[in-house]
Amino acid sequence: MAPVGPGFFARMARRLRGDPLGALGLVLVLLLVFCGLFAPWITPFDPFKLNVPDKFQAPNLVHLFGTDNLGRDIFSRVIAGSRIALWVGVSTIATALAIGLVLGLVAGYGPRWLDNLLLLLFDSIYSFPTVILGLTVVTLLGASVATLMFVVIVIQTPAYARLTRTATLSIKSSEYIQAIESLGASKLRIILIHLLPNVVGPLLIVASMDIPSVVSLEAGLTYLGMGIPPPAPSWGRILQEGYSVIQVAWWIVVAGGIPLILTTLGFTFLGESLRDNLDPKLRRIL
Amino acid sequence: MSLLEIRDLNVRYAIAGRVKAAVAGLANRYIDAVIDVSFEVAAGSTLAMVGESGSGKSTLARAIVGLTPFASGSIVFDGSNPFATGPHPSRAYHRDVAMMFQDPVSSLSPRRTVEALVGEPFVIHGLGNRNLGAEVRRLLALVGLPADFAGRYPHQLSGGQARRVGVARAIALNPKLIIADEPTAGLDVSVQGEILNLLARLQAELGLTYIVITHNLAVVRHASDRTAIMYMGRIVEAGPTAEIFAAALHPYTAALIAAQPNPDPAHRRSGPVLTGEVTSLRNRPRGCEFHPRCARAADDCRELVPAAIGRGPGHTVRCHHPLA
Repeated sequence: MAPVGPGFFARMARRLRGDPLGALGLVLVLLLVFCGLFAPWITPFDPFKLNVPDKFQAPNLVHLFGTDNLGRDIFSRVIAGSRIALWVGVSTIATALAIGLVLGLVAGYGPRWLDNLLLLLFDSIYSFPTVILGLTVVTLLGASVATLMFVVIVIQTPAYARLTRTATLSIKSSEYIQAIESLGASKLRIILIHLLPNVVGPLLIVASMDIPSVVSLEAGLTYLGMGIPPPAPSWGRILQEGYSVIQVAWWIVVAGGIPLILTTLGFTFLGESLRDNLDPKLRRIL
Repeated sequence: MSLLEIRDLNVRYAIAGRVKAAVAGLANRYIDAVIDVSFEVAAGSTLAMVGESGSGKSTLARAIVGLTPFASGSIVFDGSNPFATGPHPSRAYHRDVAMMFQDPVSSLSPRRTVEALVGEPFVIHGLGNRNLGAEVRRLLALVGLPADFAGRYPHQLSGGQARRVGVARAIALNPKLIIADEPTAGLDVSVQGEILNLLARLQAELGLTYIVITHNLAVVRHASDRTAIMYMGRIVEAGPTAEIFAAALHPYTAALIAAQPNPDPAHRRSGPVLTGEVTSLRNRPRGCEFHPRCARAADDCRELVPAAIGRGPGHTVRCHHPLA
């Protein structure tokens, strides 16, 4: 894997030109990030403002995606929803990644008994079906953004920890780690300076490809009424509200579904492109 | 005076846990990689460790620097025992004994610049506060690399350049002993010569002591004062290099020397020929380990492990029927 240095972005840009799917992914992800960051300033209407006389308007030039049963502008709600999706997706994956990295490095480089203990823990968590675990925790703790993020972090952390552990195990017997050990370096120094930079690259790619599945999980749990409580304009909420009135207003479900599809495609295309360009060896395991 | 003195060193690896060994009925759950190895290295000299793959020479090196714990025996370095407090040697020992690993490029951490790699020993030993950049440039100059290599990454170096970086890192803390595992492996023949000359020059300038691990007999003859030949974890013959090449005592040594390629097309092979593979360490032969491949093997070789017997000053051999 080529190290990130000067010329890295220029090189990536050149490669993306020969990789239209990767470029499409990048555009979609940038679009989502733009919407998420600037949602309050770019929505044409207030996503919470009721306007009952205008309810169930089909898509038109004023309301691009139409209005819902309370007359709220769906286009504005979709854009506002991107902020929730981005926040939940990126922050939970980042947290899970950080915890997973630490646990994986400790398991891979630490003593054998600790490795076995951590593996048991990872596998126990891994063995829970995602949605059932999510529903249980939400039922116990109550539906909120924080609960949802907690669930996702608990589910995702073992996956990253296991990947980190495997990568650490394969690196720790390499000659350069032994060479550092023979100099008398501390374990902490070896982990932070020599192991971490060499395991983190592939993991970032995996994580970027996981963001859409978290966004979908958030939408799914919200759709089931177990995610983000109303009136927040989550995409799952838009889907759920649209589903109940699908016979009068089909466009609401479509408007809630399209951003989910685009987000998934965007992150997947971008992730695959990064993987192929940065570390072709990963193609075998991802 | 000897700088390093090793007595009856044994290194073993567990091949099965206690439970597995009990269930499978294994009598011995260990593999003996190094058995009863004793030798001394005089300050300022070079000892060559020779042997086929799996003969235990790299394990021996790892045990000496403290990467692999040893089961029994003693290591005395410069008059004191660095392993007195447990399996991890003292910090001073880490500074005095440097190890160079086999692969020149992959023994360098791939995401560190040459400057960071060569400066690392200083940082590890808390000496980072002096002018690290100047120190690195001095070391690079010492091993014959231009100063602008400091900003390069390992994958931007050729094998020979990477080896020079490895040498610079090894000599950074002014060690007394350098253990070099195959210092010339994977290098072009011309570069091999340059590296050997570099090591010889540094030895003269800095008063270094070397243990060179290799299976390249040309390197042994060129670079070492004394030679020890290992077979299945034991030193089967040890002595002054010139003497060993002139008159080998152990049949294995003689076969190794005879197996060297000779550039003269008229030359016909003489001396014993090695047949068969090294026996698995899991099924160590009874008696002398070499007897299944030895032309001179007799009944006692199949039963009794030969003791090391002295033949002339500083020359020992483990053989019931030595060649001279």
